[in-house]
Amino acid sequence: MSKAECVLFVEDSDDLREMFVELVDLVLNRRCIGVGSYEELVALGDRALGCGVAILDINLGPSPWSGIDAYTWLREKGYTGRIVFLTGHADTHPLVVAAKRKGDAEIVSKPIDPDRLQAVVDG
Amino acid sequence: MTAPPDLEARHAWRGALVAAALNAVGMPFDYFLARNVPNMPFYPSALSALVAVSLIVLLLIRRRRATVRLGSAVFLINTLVSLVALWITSGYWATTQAWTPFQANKLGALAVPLIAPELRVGLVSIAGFAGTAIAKFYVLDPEIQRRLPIGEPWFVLIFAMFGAVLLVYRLRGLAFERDVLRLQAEAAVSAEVARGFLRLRDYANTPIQTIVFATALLRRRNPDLEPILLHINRATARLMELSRALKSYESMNNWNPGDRPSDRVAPSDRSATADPPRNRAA
Repeated sequence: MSKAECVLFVEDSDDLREMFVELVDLVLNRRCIGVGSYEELVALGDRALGCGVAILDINLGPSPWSGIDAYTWLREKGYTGRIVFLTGHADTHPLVVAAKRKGDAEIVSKPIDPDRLQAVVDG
Repeated sequence: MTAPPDLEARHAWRGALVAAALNAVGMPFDYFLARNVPNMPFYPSALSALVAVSLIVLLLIRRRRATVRLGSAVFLINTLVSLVALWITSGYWATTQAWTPFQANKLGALAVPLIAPELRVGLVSIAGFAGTAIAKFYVLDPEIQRRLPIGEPWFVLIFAMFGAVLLVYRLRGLAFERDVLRLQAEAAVSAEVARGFLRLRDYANTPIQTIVFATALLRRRNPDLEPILLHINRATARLMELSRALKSYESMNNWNPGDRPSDRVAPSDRSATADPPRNRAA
């Protein structure tokens, strides 16, 4: 399996994560790993680092960790793939502003259609 | 934040209270200073102070239900009893050689602009202090009139003029202050409404995204469902339009430091289904 074939998706909503993973698998013909929390991402370890693109929800629910923490963990572990933040929150929200400061990450606002999803995954 | 109409009533209430307190304290003090004036009666000062105390009690009772009208009415009654008392006592003061004419009236004309609840009430009160001084002058004994310094009693008009200018200046300042507070209150409400809309939009975005992806999956797996999926597509497109429309509220909202996204405190959608989540790694 090459790096470019794998998509990492970190999203706390079970429904959205399941739909995303199946859609990427079925429509985009990419392998996709769905992760529901920061802790699960850390537990995933090298499998996560092996993906070519990581799509991170900025808000990971009631846990103290956010997508920005996931970004930081990935980069600290030497992850060199593309990182995209997917958020449903206002551009002016402090977490989104903090994500914008991560210069090498793209920020995409929910909701997006499947065509846009393909563009995001393909880069 | 105090609403501006309440603030106006509170200003009026406070002004009336201060005016009554000055009367209640000032009149007995005036009598104390006049104790050596021949035949100076006690009753004008006492009645004026008594009415003032009664007005203070009324104001304290109505403290929670203060209105501008109440403040103005109390202020005018207080001014009226003060003027009656001064009218009587100034006649006795005038019989003394050392009398400085209409000091209390001049003081009143300058004190009114600092505490008057409304413009009309303030102007009437200033006119009362000036007018009664001038009228009193003309009912004094001609010998006393001749003895008064040059320019009296007309100096009181200069005090009245300064008082009127000060009154307008102060009331305009208060009105400006109330306008600023009103605008601040409106801005705070608008920001709260904007924040509410944004929370609504933020909370809806993930479910909308789920429907969009689920529809795409269904379309791929069940092409026969296309006519139905078109309806869902149109419905979700409208929801997405709504989401974009609510984006305009972002500019009205200032997030506070440490703000968390709204759904961090909302029930997780995990609890909405009994099925264990699939496609979860690890």
